[in-house]
Amino acid sequence: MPSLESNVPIFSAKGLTKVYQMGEVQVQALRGIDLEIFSNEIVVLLGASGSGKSTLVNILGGLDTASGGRVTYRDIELTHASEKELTNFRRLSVGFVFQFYNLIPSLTARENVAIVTEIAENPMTPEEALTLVDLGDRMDHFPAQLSGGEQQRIAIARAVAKNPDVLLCDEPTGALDSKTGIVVLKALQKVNQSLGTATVLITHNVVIGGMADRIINLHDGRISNIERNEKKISPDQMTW
Amino acid sequence: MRTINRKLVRDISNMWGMVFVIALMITCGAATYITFLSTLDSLKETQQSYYQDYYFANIFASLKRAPNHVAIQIREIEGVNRVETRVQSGLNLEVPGFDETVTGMIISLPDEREPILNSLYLREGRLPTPYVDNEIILGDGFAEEHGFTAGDQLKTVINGKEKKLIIVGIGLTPEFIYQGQPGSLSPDLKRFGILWMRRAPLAAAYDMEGAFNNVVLSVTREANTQDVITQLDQILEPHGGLGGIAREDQNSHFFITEELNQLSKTATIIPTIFIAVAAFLLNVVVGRLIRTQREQIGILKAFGYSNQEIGLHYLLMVSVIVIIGLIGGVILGYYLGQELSALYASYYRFPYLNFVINPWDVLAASVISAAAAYSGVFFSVKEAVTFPPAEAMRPEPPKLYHRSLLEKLGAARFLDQPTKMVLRQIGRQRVKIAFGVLGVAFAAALMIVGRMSNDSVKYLIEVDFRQSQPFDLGVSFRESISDHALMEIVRMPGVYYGEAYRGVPVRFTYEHRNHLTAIQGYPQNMKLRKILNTQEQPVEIPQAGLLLTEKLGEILNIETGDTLTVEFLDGSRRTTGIKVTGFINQFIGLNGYMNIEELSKLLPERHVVNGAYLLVNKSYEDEITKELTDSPFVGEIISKQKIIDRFYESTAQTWLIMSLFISLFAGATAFSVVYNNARISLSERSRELASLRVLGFTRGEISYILLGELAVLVLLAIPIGFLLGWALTWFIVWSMQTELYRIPMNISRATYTLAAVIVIFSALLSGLFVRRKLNRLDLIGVLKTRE
Repeated sequence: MPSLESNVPIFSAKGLTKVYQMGEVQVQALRGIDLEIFSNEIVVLLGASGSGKSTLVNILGGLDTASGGRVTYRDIELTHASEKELTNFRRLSVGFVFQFYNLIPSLTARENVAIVTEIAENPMTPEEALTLVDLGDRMDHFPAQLSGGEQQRIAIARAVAKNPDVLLCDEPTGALDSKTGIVVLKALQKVNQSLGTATVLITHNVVIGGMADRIINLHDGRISNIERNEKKISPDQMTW
Repeated sequence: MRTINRKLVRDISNMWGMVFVIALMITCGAATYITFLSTLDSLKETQQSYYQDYYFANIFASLKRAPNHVAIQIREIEGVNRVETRVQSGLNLEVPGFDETVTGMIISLPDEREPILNSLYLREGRLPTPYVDNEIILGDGFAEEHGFTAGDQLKTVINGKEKKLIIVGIGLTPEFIYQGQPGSLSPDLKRFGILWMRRAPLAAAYDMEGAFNNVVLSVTREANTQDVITQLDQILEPHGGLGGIAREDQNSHFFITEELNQLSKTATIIPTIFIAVAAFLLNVVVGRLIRTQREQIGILKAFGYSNQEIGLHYLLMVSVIVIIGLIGGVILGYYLGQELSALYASYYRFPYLNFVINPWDVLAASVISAAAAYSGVFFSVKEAVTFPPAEAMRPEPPKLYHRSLLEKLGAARFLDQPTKMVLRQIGRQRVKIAFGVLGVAFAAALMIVGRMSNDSVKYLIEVDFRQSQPFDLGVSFRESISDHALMEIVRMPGVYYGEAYRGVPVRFTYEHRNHLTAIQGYPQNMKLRKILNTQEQPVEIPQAGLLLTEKLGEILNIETGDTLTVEFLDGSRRTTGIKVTGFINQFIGLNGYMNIEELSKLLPERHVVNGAYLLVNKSYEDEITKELTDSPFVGEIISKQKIIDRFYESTAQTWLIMSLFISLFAGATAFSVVYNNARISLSERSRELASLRVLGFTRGEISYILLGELAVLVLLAIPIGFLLGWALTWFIVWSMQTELYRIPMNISRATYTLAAVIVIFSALLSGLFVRRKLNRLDLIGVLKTRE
């Protein structure tokens, strides 16, 4: 297990708040979050729906901006970044994995990865990325020809192919059955172990917390507690 | 309000961009339809009521001189209703500050009453005082062109004597709706004036006291006009009658009828094409609109709405759009119809305009638009409701794509992923793209059709005037004169060369068909007037026999080698048979051509001519014209350049308006189609594009993927549009041939360029609108929902 204390945090959030204006109603999605995320670690964000998990990850990933507080990624202040800086941040430093894969149906597995490697600065090859998620043999298939688990692993390959500092995964197993979900989690763990990519994983499945270095519980827009997981297990050992 | 109807209202207000472009298509289609058809109806209605209210005569006859009592004989012909004898003559006019030759015609008004045929509509002033020899009514077209009003003076040369006349009124009659020199291409309001003077003073000026040289007749409903003319000709023959002319052959009526015939074809074909194109596009667009609602249809079905209720819901939605479009179309059509009718009415010199809008045309426009829209609804709703609700609620499963043709050919290595996306999208949605291409192509084609009159007439002038008529000045003599007179003209300073011809009015008869026209007798090897064959190549006048205009051959249904009965209407009234030896190409007018010597052998006087073509030094042209005008034997002088200028002058405005109008509609159509395509693509692909934005693609990069597809669409559409435009133009040219004109098929490079530019511009504009939408893509929302 990497020693956290020796690391400089890659993300650091202080007093982060987010208010959505939904018509005439204000929704307080985040009510003051203080958080640091370090390289090499796997963080699992747990919480009921509406607890603010996705909002937090969206702000970390530069998809959304905070209403108050500060969030920095290394030296970059994300809170006040311009549209152009945020695009560039996403382009070079973050990898996303979504619940519904969001693959481009008109591109093959290899090309879905290539579309990202073509614009990244120091990427691996699409083949390397796909081999990492054990899909080396299905590279020329279109999404419509692949199962859900396979599609999600392409999405992981696509996310890691640019060698990002951090991987943000929003319910990556949410649309999958447990067996396939475990295959996907193993892929994520493999990436973390072999590349040292910091991984933030949103789920409401408590079991998945077993593979995390830290488990952060969110409740009603606040961090209710952070647990250190001393007994990390492999996804193989999980059941749900 | 039921919730489902509330949904309707909100959907419409949320999709206002799409609603607007679809309604715009309907507006364009319906407005074109209503504009043209109401113009046509209004002009026909106006012509009819003008003829009726102002007693337009049925028969016209000119003669040398007959004593007044001959009128009694004429009145006794069976079937004759009213008879009006007149004195009329050509004259020269002088307009201060306008140094071109101005000719005119002066016609008598009965001394103490108003004419009972061809009554005057007085625009201003009063009728001339009886027996006063210097008061006239001036034709309104001429008055307007030169700014004459009642009270002004006009200098004229009447029967060789200069005379100052006082204009006491400005008027017009159904006899001169078309005002122009006989044989000219277009109304010539500047250089040809009509004057009316009381009978007694006019008769005195022309030594016509107690006599007349022109008579007009109306006939009863049952009368056979041809029989009346035959009897009239018999009565007038001893008095130098030139043959009675039926209303159908009367210059103004013939011209106006031909023009209205032509307009009626334009007014039917163009709007039919427009509304058909609009209907086609509407059908496609509405179908797509409903396909984007697939999920909602699934949800409604899941809630227990029946297929009929859902169908009705979308029918209502489309009805709202159709109604918005139609209201726009009717208002615009009504307004433009009035404008266009007024433009034509003033061009033809109608005294007033009865603007009518036929409710059937409005109904037809509505039915066509609605039918097109509803069939789009029907098929797409039918398709949408066949899915079980659960499946419909799920968006369509990921589509299976294939490598594009270009990649299969080995270009894959050179293409980046976004380009592959564009190509594969096109490959997968071939039908959708094909419809889009066809829609944009139609818009380009409409542009080409819209500029057709412009292009074709320019071509006509090039071929008919510049190539086949290399002369500078054409001179016609008042009477036939000795061919030696040409020598004198050629000797004038500035004249390089001259050739004389002889023209004789004739009636051609073949089997039961006949046609009034003229034979032009030309010398061998004529240089200043080229006869072009049907391939537009110059041909020689044959030694013997007659060449006919191709169209005249069709009218008479005569073929090469057949013998045509020719009746000379020059006073000799001889009749003979002449063999037709070939056909020629002539866009304007219908004539026969033969060797001048052959022609002279058939007529009493030999070695006479009645016109000449001259090649002159351009800088002497005005001087020569002036000198010829003063010569007693010269009747009319035409300058080729001036005829061309005049033609452009008189028609330029009409073209410009028509062309602008159609370009605007075509542009709107192109915009609608491209915008619609882009919007649909955007809604289909917003998820994909938002995902790419999340992955770090810039706005420009994702725009490329979406707009690249549109660019390919537009680029494919342009050449197809050219072909379609060519085909539609060909169809219109083919269906619009009239006796007066045969429109040549010609599309200029400028037209193709303009069509392409308008389409590209419209595409860019809609691209810009869609780009704005791309900038507002919801990056988070798209990740949270399943596709």
